[in-house]
Amino acid sequence: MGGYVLRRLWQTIPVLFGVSLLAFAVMHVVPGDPVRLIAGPDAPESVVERIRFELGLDRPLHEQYWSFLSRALRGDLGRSLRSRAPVADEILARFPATLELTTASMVIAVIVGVPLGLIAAVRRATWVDYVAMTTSLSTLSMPVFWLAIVAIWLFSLQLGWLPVSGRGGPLWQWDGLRHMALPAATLATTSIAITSRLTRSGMLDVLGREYVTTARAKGLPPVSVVTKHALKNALIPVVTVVGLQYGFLLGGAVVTETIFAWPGVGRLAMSAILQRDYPVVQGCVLLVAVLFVMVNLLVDLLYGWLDPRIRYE
Amino acid sequence: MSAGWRRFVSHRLAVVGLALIALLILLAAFASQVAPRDPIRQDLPSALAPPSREFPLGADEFGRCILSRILYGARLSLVVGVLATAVGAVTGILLGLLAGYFPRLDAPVMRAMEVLLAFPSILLAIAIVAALGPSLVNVMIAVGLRSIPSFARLTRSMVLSLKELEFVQGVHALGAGHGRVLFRHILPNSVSPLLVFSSMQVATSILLAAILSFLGLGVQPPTPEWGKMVSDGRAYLLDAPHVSLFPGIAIFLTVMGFNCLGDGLRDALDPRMRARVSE
Repeated sequence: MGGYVLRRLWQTIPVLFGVSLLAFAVMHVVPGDPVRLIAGPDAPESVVERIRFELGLDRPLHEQYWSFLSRALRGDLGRSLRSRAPVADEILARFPATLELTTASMVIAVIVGVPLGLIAAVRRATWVDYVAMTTSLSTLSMPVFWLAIVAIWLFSLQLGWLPVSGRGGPLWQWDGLRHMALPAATLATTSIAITSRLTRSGMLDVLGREYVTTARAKGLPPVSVVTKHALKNALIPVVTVVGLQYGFLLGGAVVTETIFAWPGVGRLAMSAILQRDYPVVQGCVLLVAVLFVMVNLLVDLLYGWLDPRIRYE
Repeated sequence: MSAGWRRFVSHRLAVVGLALIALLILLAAFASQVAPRDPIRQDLPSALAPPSREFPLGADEFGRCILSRILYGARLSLVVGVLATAVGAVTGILLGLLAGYFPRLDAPVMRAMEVLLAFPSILLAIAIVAALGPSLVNVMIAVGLRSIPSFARLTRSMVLSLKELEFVQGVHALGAGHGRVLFRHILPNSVSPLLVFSSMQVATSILLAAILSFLGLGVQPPTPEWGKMVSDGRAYLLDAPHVSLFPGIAIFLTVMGFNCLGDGLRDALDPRMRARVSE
């Protein structure tokens, strides 16, 4: 398995290289001058040129990219054009908030989505199934930003149960949990829908297999047949999608973090794009890509635990 | 009546989806006749008016009729959803055909697609629109670009299996050129899954375009756009929640319509999926 992991890591290098090149190109080739944004519209040309020189933005593009890449390989992502703070520090300061939010939302998605899909499959073609699947399709169709606004209106403004925005204390404190509840639940809705639909279709597939019929014929309790024999085998597509979603969201749930003023990586990336803070954008994008690739690999390795017939070559 | 159509109409959600989309297209096409008021005309004394006979869905902060703005906004959402999907579909299908058919092109094309997939899609869309400037065309480019890798992967996987089949080998043996084999024989046999995927992509494209508008990167005021309308209403949530509520419902119903249609088409056109999903 060690060889497989190494080969997979080797294969990710061109992808990460491509992502860094794309992030660099998108932010640099297009019109718009970050130096003008920093210096202000009335700054004299001499000041603008001095700032451009200091930031290294007067050098040819390929030199700028090479400098970014060689420093990134040593763990140095440069400095923010706006705050002048190291980009790695800016990202690391916000990453715990994003990790907290994403993990909470994924836990909610699995705790709600898997049982929902399981019940829908076991109670196939009954009202339980129809309600569960129509609800999940509806949830998939709801714009997250709108759902967030409706949640704020209901739970914060009307009922006054939960705070409107911001991050409270640590999660083990009541205040931290109250601040986390709305953004995590909102972020979880799409994942709940996807997880429940995949669990249902996976379970339907597995419940018709011969080994499940055998387990039933042996007189095993129905709960045991469903949870021990069927569910584990139905979970592979669920693990794949939950893993991929987790990987993506770790890079920042841009919309949710913006609406709830959650101080995470998504908000940092969003404001950096609007301010043309190249190093911060590149740093955030690289982080997302690395996390995405790593989570992908972890998901692949989990397959072996879920289905021992899978071998890594 | 063909078996596919019978399967489609027996899928209740699919029929609901088709009806929703048909209604939406009609309302969008005849918005100028159906809308009770001019969607741009301001009427400040009626600002934030709740739903009434005069303003069936209420008025926004400038006293503009929300129903009229939703009806006119439907045009924009449909156009963006369909054209952005078309941008992604045409490019992605072409790349997928080439990658699947010509082994030499497979690795470079698919590696490029992996790069696009690993790039966070919302950040990419925001970056493109922020860089090129907020406009309808730029939103369509940004949203369309995001779906290219998915179309390319789907098409490639179908080409890989189709090109080994006997009828394709036969056409080759008869001396047909690569272009003819690809566009006259392989592509028409891949239409069903691509059609299903496209209808779901229209839903995703409408959602992503609404997100961009919500973040202030879409079509600029005073043009009515659903995402922007939800965003503008945030400031008045306490006193006038209807300003955000109704445009959001419009987005939801539209996206739901395309998702239901996609589900129905999949069940009708893809017997393997039907056997698994509709049980």
